[in-house]
Amino acid sequence: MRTVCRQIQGGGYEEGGAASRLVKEQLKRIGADPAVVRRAMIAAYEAEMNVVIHSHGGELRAWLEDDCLHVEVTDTGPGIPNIDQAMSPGYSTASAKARELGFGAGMGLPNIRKNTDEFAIESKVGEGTRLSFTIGLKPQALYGSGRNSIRIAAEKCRQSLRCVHACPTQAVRVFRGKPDILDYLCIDCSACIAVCPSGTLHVTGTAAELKPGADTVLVVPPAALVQFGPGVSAERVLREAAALGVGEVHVTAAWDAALQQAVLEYAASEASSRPVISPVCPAIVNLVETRFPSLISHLAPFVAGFEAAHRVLNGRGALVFVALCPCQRTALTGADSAAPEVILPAAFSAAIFPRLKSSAGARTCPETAAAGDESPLGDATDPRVMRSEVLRVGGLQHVINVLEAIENGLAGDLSVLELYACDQGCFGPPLLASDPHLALWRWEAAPPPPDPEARAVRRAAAFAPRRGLRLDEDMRKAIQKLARIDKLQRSLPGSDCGICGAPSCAALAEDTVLGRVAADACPRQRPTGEEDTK
Amino acid sequence: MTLRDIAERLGLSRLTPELATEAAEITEGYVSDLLSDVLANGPKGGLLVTVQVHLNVIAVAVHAELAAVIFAADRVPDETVRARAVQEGVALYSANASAFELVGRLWELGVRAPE
Repeated sequence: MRTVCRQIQGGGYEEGGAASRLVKEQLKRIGADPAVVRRAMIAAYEAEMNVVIHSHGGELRAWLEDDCLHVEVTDTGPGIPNIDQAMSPGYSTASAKARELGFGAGMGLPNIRKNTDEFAIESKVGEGTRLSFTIGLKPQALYGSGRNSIRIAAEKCRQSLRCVHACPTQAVRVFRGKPDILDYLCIDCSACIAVCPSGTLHVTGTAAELKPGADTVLVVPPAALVQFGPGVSAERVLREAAALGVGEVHVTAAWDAALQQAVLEYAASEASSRPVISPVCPAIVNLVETRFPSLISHLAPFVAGFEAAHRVLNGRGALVFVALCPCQRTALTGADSAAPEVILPAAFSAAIFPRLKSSAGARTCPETAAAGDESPLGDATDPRVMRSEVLRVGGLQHVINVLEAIENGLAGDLSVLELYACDQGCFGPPLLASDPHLALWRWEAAPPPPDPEARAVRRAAAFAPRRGLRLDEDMRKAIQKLARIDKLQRSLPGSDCGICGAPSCAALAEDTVLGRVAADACPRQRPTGEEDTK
Repeated sequence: MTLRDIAERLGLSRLTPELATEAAEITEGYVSDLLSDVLANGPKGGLLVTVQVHLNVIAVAVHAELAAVIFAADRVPDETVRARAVQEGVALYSANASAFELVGRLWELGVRAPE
């Protein structure tokens, strides 16, 4: 398949490298090994610059076939009188201008030969030169795909198709009226759940309700404690939870604070890549591993606050966690054999609500609670103290913008980042009833005393890039598939309307070739598309 | 030795403050004004010392995957070149010292030739 065809201007030094760059993008798309990509780029760039330096102009064509990259660079003259001479290192006929710019050392052709598996050059004076080379490709090492906790009740789907567009990694499809999630792309955030109007996409707890027992150790995030309106403080909810008859109640706030402290110390150390990304939100860690693998070294090597609580409190009794979102549920019930019971915020609220009604006398005004401001909460949880050091960003679009800025080297002024998939961080998951801004404000007005056992916990396993987009593990097949995808994509309208159930025309072309959907899924495909897809 | 330390010890002017690459660990370097030579021998993740200040230096640095370029002998690229380097994530520095002196001092700091 031809993947790149680009004109090269003779003497166009400013544009030099543009054609080779296009080749690089294709090689990355099929998942070629980085070392092979580097060799291919050196050869392609040298060949391209030869046209710029020596010729009247020409063309670079590149195509992928079987498991090889083929590149052909042709020009329209003047041609090389003696090719053997041109191939010998150090021989050059470059102009004074080219030499001034650091070209014309007589190393270009030998460099191409050194970096390629097959190399050929022919030239006719007065007509032009044709140079071609081939490089065998091998795939980059593969990594496992992700797990998630988003469940699908397909019978409820009314095909609003909102989820298809809401997913930040294009992991959702609604083909044949049934939603499906591509596990290897899903980062386990709740963007699709938040927009689903029918409850088709949802998350479940490992238990439907809270069944308190004397040995129950209940772990609750701050947001779950401020879902009961203006008259019920977090401290009151904690008291009521204890009165349910559980052994212990822990709040994760202090664990988050301990993590923040540990990450600040880590960021101050030499070993860190700045800005440091604190692993507060597992969905964002997944996003970095899937879409921003080059930023993995920026992730601080700790587990999130609620995970630290799980590790430390493990074995204490019957652990019950209130999980706020799919990614928390996944992290808690993951590979660990000693997974705790997980309930959702609604189940926690259902257990608390009856008690609030029956013991109306125990109402606590927020004003009263706010008077306890000198509670020994510590400075670390006060966001104002660390304002200049820690930047909190909530909401996936903003997070993606920030990650792109870091990737482009445009975030050198930042030190520590706390990135959350949800607006207002863990006060914003769609499973919570209260508006995230109100809930956070109420929490900050009167937080209960911190958990004395809280501490940060280092990660045992390193962060690793995820498999992400990979067409086939066999490089040869990946190339064939890429060719078919490109062809098919050209026959689609390119409007990314999403009516077919895929988030974009490119995604539909990929789905078709990978056999996820029939070839005629697009309702607006041009009639000529039939031929193109063959 | 990080880029930050090297820049400090050698008194380099930082031309691309937009980039957050100062914590990068540098172990290898190369010196050349011939771009094919840099392509063939430039160390991935390493430094280049050169007097060339035009746009193609950035293209070569990207293809050779260099972390940073130090311009010797008071050479400074124009804004187009600088902006491209920022876009591509290649850190640029400029130095008063000659290429010879720079390389000698880099060697003293433990930066070595690529294997």
